[in-house]
Amino acid sequence: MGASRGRDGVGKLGNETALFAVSTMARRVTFQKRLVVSMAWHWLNSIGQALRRKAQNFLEKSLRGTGKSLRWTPLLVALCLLWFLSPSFCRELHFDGSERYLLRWGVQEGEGDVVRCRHGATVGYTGGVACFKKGSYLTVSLVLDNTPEDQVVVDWHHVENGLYRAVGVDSEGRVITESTAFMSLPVQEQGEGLGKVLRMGPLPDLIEWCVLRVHVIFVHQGKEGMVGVSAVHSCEIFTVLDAPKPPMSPAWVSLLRYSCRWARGTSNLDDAAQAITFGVFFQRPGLAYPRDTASHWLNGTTFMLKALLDEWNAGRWTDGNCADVSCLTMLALCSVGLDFSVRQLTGTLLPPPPYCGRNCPPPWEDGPIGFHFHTHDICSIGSDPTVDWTYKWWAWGWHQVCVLTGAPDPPSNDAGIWDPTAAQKEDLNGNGYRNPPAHHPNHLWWQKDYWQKSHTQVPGAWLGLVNEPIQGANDPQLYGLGTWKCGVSAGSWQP
Amino acid sequence: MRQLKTLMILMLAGVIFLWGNLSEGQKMDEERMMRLLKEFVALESNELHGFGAKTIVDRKNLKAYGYDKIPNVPIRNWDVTSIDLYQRLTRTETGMLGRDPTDIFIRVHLLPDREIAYWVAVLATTSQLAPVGQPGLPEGSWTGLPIGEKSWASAPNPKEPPAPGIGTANLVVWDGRLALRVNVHYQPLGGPKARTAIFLPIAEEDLEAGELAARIILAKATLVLIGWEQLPSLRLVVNGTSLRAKGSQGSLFVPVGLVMKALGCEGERKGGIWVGRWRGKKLTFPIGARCVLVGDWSVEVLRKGRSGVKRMKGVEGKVGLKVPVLYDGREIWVEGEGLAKALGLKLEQKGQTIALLPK
Repeated sequence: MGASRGRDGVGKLGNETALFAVSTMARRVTFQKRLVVSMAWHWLNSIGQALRRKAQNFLEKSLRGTGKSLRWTPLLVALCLLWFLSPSFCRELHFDGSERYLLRWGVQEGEGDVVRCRHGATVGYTGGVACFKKGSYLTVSLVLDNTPEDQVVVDWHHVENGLYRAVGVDSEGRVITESTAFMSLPVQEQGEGLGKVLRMGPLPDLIEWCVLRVHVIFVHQGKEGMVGVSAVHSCEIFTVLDAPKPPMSPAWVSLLRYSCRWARGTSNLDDAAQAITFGVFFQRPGLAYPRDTASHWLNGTTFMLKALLDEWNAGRWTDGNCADVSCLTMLALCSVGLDFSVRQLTGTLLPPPPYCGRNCPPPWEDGPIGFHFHTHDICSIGSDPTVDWTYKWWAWGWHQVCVLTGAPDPPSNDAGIWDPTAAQKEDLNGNGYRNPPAHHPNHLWWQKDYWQKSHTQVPGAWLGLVNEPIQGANDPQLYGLGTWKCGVSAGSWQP
Repeated sequence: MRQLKTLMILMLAGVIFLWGNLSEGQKMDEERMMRLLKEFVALESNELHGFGAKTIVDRKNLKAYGYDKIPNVPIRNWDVTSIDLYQRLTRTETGMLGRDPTDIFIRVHLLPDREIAYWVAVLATTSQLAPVGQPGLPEGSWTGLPIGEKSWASAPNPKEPPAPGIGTANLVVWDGRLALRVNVHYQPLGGPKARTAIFLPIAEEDLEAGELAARIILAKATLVLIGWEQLPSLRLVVNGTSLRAKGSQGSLFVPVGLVMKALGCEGERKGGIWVGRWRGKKLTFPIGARCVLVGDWSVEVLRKGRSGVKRMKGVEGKVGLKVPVLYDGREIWVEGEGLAKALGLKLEQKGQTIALLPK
């Protein structure tokens, strides 16, 4: 049950909670017995915690609605009894730091959604989640309950720790990690006894989604002397570039599990923004661009994020047009600390069909109702950009993209464009690209050029989004809502 | 002076009391509506054959959701509550790859007035095909028959081969204080990890099922809005047969099937419509429509047959209704005046009895 050394010298930590005794008395206990005790402890601990959390949630909900109905009273009383009678082995480690950011779960509206430990503090905690700035330090402290089990604890010590890369979430909502830690954090113990604080860090200097497992020993004062009890406490950790930006402030755990996976390993704006734009585009199951070009996830100007993520988490594809796709990308970018907005653009337009020139509308689109432009062949989200047949032209009245908040208005060329709605075959130099436009030192997607750029090699040919008509000197233009930030909601919704 | 002060304080207290009571009353009314939407309007599992149902009822302040920021919409005050019904109808047992599961997503918004409801409906059609604030989907429905005061729809041609982006179809309906959106959705053939999401086009029968759901929900929600349960019952005499009607002379509702049967007219309900023949003329009562169709009619498919959206092309005659054709779960009901006009008859009231007589 102890830690075994991995190839990189980092400990592999087994069960979530393990027990072993270091006193003479405890040494007599066989390994099998210890295993049974450990399993029982673990089992009781998890049941106790689950019961308490459920009872607490139910109480909160019930108390809010007590005026409405008393029909839940017997159940409420029973749950209260269970709450008080359930075993309490809930000692926690708290994970804090000067560059720790507040989080929301993203499962309900209101204050109840903020991530808090059992004691109400908005810190990371054992079995919980925390978000830190990349490369920052965290402090770990012990919080005991006033229970007989916790009253015997007189000291605790750090044994080892490991950061395990998270790869997904199982059907029960538990984070799945790689089996081997990718790094362990240097630790300094500060103070003594129960008030001791572990200063750990620095955390990875890049965007990461991982689980920190800390192996500690609690020293119990027993009747026959001191007993050491070993335990592994874990906390889901996100490391981000900077403080999450509105409307993802606080950021949602449910979205960070996507955005930090998409941007994993990046450490600057250019790389992270490109990785997230690509991440949204290549997400499977993800968003698929519908033929009617309709928006599905905006209620007014608020993005119904929980409803969308619930679909993905259940393994289902969803529909979304440029407004949906760019708003989701903006939220993902804001969640890792990048201040992005969305921008609605239009330009010089063609008259409605059949007066717009080519055989418009194309058969794969329901067709424009008014004035519109024709795009180049692009591969809309939900399709594979590496094959040619997925590239088609569209007739759109307007388009929405992501820009850095405060980026110069069009027609200025000084703003970068991140457009996860569709991949383009060529970048703005006419070189093979086959990715969604994402402004980056390697592939510059400047606003005006992105909209339409004269091809330097082939006279009369154009690069960028718009194929026809030829755009004017003042194109693109801000359109509709202009540059804006959507709201975000965990409320109920159907697409 | 002192008396004036006392009077002012009393008035202020009165206003606060009245306002408190009004807002309390409004909340209770909203809660009553939410209960009715959940218990009466929402479709139950298997009400649409083979579809299980999940229901949520909620209320939202539209200003809090940023409706006030949307340009080109002439509504000044978005500080209103929308009472919403969300339903997900799911079918998993067709045994056909690409159609399991079939989801019908339904969203019903009950707004405080018809103008706001109209704009909520228009905004539910937002697409890249038209500027925001204008309907982004073409007018029409999936069957081509009228539904609500106005409806917009999108759907791929059901006969198209599988392709990206065609596994979804939308129907948006506006009627009075109601805005409704129905979305039929398939999952792609390649499953959750498909590199390219290729969908089957939405099958005609699924479009019809989705539209039927919209019609029933619209009709039932209208029953709630007009206070159906509180409407008095009246005796209706048709061709010597005594039937039960609801309402009063001004807004009288009669059961279509029973009246037509009493008149000796052959007819039957087919999905969301009641069709019969009267004096050689076809009569069509689409549930949730604001009209009765008299005589033959035809529908055209949009985009020269390349779409699954249809709309009325030629109608011999049409009788407008003040209230949509209703459905209480058993019978189709229609305004007495409208029915009389469609049949070329007249309604006459004598005391508590109403008779349908020749003109």
